[in-house]
Amino acid sequence: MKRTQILAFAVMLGLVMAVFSAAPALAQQTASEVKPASAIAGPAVPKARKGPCVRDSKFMRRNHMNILKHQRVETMYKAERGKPEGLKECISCHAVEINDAKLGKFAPIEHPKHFCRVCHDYAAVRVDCFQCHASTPDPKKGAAANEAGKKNDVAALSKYLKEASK
Amino acid sequence: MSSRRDFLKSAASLAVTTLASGVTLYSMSGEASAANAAKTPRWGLLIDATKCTPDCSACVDACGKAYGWHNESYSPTDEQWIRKVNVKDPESGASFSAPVMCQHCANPPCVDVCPTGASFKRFDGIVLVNRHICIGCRYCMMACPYKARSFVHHGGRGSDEDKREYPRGGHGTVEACNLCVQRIDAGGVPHCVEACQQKGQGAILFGNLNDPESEIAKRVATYRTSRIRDDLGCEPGVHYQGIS
Repeated sequence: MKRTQILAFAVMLGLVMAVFSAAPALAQQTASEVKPASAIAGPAVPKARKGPCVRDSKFMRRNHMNILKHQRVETMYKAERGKPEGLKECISCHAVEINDAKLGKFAPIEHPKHFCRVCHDYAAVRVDCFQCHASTPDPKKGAAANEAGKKNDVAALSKYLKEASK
Repeated sequence: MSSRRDFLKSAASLAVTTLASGVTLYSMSGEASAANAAKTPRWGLLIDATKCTPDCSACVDACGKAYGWHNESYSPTDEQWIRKVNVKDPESGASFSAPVMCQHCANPPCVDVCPTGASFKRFDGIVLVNRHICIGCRYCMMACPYKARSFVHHGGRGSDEDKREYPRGGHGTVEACNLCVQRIDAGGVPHCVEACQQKGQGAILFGNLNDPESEIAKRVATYRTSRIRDDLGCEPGVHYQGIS
């Protein structure tokens, strides 16, 4: 009786030790952004189609929702459309090609490989945007849209500066 | 002579804009801001009921198709952004027909009652619902004298292709005519105006009421137009001709 108890204790201790020794290894793997082999290690974030992003990846990971919210207010109240910070531009760049016969060229939000879903599924945060907004890039609009938005920004700023200096 | 009012005006127009660190713009001129206010458009419609026929629903169909609210089943819980109203005087038998949509009031009651600030008037006079913050309480539906707003009972309608032009869905929020704000921002005209024109009716005129040179402003200044329930003081942006 006593011997089995000791044995059970030893096995438990061994298990606990194994978990503790594995934990830092897992954390290290996510931190160094190595593509994880298992689903536990972290989401496999798909690469963007073009770059660079409006901010660096590290900032975007934490703050993309704030940028999106800010731009949505600017669009709604000030009619500033087509900005690179807007949802449409995010979607056009961060589309994941699946070439599915049924779902189309790019993964819609229904597909688990959709850029937003990969992380949001992992973090169990529901993303509501696509009930109303399109989750795939507009096939009519080319890759130049992002660049055009940036050019407009510069043009608008210089125009504003000129008017203000008058 | 500078009055107290002028002073307050110029004080109110002191604008400080920080563009980037180290770049700060100061501008202070009461006259300049007054000129800008005149330049700000006030979008409106002029609906000529004498050109509108009771059997035509081109404007309603075009709107329903563009925003996906006009589905086949015509369920009583479907949203209605625009509807045709046929009016007949029982005594004389005289009748007219005209579309009624959000009247884009200058003093919108829907904005007054909104508890979250979702219902708002844009800088150019277009009254919209910010559906990101709408909680679906439907106060605005009760407040609107024109019955212009609808509750979205059946959200998540349409595919990605349908959502390209304008987001649609918003289950549990309130929506109404947006005067095709995305088209106006791109320099276009609303769907209803376009459809009416294409049908050959030409009963709806869209334009900037603040611009005295615009066709709509000239017609409003020339003919005796009226606005529905003008006695309420909401000052709608939608004018009617031949309804009274």
